[in-house]
Amino acid sequence: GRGEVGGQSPEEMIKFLILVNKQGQTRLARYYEDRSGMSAEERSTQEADIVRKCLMRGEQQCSFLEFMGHKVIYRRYASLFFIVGVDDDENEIGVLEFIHCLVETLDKHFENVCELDIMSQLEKAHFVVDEMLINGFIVETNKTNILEPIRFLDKAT
Amino acid sequence: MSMRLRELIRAVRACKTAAEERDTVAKECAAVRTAFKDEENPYRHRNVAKLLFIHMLGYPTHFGQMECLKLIAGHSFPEKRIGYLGLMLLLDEDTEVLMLVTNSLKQDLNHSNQFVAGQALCAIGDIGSPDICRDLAGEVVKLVSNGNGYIRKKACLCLVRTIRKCPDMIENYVDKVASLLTDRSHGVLVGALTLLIEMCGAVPSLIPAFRKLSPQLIRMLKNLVLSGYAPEHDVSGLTDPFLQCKILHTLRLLGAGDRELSEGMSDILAQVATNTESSKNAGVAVLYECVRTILGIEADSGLRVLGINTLGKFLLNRDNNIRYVSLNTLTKVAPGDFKSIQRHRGTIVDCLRDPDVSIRRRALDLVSLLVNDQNVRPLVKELLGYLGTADADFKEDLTSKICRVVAKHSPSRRFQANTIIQVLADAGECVQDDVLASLPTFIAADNLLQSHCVHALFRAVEKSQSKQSLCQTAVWCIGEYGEHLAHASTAHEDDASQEAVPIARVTGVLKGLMESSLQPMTVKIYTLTALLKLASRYPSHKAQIGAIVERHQSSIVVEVQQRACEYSMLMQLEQGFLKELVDHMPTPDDEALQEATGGVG
Repeated sequence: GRGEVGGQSPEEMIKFLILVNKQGQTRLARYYEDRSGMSAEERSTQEADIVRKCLMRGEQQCSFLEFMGHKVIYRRYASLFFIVGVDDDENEIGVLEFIHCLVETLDKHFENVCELDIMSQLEKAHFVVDEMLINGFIVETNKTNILEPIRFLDKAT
Repeated sequence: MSMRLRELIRAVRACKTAAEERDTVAKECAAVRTAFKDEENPYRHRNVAKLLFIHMLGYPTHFGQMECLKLIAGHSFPEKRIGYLGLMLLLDEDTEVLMLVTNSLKQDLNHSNQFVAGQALCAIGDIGSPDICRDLAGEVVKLVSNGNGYIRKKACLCLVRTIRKCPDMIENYVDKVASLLTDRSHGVLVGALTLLIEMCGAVPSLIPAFRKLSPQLIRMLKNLVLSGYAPEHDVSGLTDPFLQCKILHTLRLLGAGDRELSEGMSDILAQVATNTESSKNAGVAVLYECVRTILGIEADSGLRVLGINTLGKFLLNRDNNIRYVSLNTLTKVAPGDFKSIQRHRGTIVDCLRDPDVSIRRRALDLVSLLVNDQNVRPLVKELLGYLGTADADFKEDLTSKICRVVAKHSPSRRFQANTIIQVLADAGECVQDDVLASLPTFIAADNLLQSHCVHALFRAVEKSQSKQSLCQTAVWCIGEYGEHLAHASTAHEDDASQEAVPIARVTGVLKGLMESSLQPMTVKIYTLTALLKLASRYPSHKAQIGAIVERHQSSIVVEVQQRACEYSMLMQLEQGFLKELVDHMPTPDDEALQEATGGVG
């Protein structure tokens, strides 16, 4: 085709998904690309750096920025920044929609989710993410389908 | 005695310094390590959960890796769950102990409980090493045909990782894709399309074969777009926008390079582009993907124009994200769709004033691409207009773009010179050295231009002496072509005639520069040289000019002092000799001119 397409190099949809608060404290982090390069400490520092960059931007500015060669898409919900690193060629508006889907799903599960919920029930939050993403690709966006197994297992345990 | 996770979180939150936190974590890690040594370890689950938290804080947790494996190997489902989560977070595909989990994975993949199998699939999908993927590929493929949609959708994505890690296995699974596309579960469909796209990316020669599936995909998309309200899949009034985007992406991949197929999908693409509601983000996501597809396949011009116009509408959206992606995409296709994009030039130029700097930058990039020989005058005029109000960062980008654009498309050297002079006046501090160097070269080439430029530059520097590059250039020009100031400049279609300037006024400005404590040394030495030249060009005023120069013979700046002394002596020389000394620079040859003007004239 003319212009952009390609599809030659394999792409993750999402390379990482992190939830960080204003103070730079990470509340949830998932990495989906080959991550053997970074130590836990390096990763943690990077997360704080990214949120700092997000914080430096004003309300007027759009939700996309660049960080260490990655395209980063972020949106703030209450006290948490939902930050997603993607490939250059990704549909940014679609990613924002996915982030919104994730927030609504967490909200449904935790009933008016807040930062404290995520902190105190970290595994639960991860389980929700795992029902939605595998290896950085979307596997499910229907909230009922996402939460059904989680609710079922909560009852069983 | 290890505490519960909640207690640990509370303890960490209570820490007031990084050192305090390090201590607390270290203490807890020690306790956990000790607990792990106990084979029975009743709190393994809780301890691994704590490690996940500690890992997130940025502390090393390698000692917990084996514990994850033990949890996975157990029979309790809640423990398995934490074990798998730990596996995905604390290890990566290169971790040596990962191999040890292969057997557990194999068992769990065949577990009767769908959630156990699901966990295993998720784990393989997230961090399966090439060896693990290869070993378990057989099981995973079986699960792709499992009766349970929950399992199938995860197995699809698991297979995506498998073919990434073991590309040689791709051929084995190509046939699976077709049957998966008849699945009823949207999750499976999304997974199947991801698999298809992945396969085509790795082995482009598969694309022709997959093209046969496009009628099916088109039908799928049609159903989603034309179906009424479907509560199960509704997002902001659209039916599964994520699946719609996936299908559109796939169609883009398949339609590229295939005229016939592209034609076959034109209808549905036009339909999506025209009927999708753009008031909500979900709708815009689909529209955007649709436009990307239109522009990525072999669409006819009508459809392409529809795509460009959709992007044009995006530029008017209140949401700056949408304006941003529009500018981005338009920039990528600008060379090819020049004409249809020109129609939106007004809106694009308006974006130069956007409150968001990344949008301003993108708009500037795009505007530069849109300049051609026909519209260069009005466009450059617009860009110059922004120069005055631009902030420091943006000014630099703007300046360099204007100079580059005018070098490429200027209708005349005069226009180019005028533009550069105005840029010097408004943003002289941002002008690149090579642009500064080029101006004298092409002024030198043209008599009429010399007259005009020296007038323009004189008036500019008379007005304001705050920009060094303007002062330097103006002063050089005044020295070199000062004799033109004695006459009015000739009128031209671009410029009115400018009246003659009495020499006293000229020397007044130069004197001011010499005496200003704000001017850097470079400006002053240029000024001295200009004064020397003027002394030759206006012999009747040599005395007054000499007086200005003399005053700086005792300057504390060595360069200035030296020149003042030397030039004073030179001015004593016989007129003919002086004239020869400071005669005009030779007219630059064609090659130098070509380089300076960037090919204009």
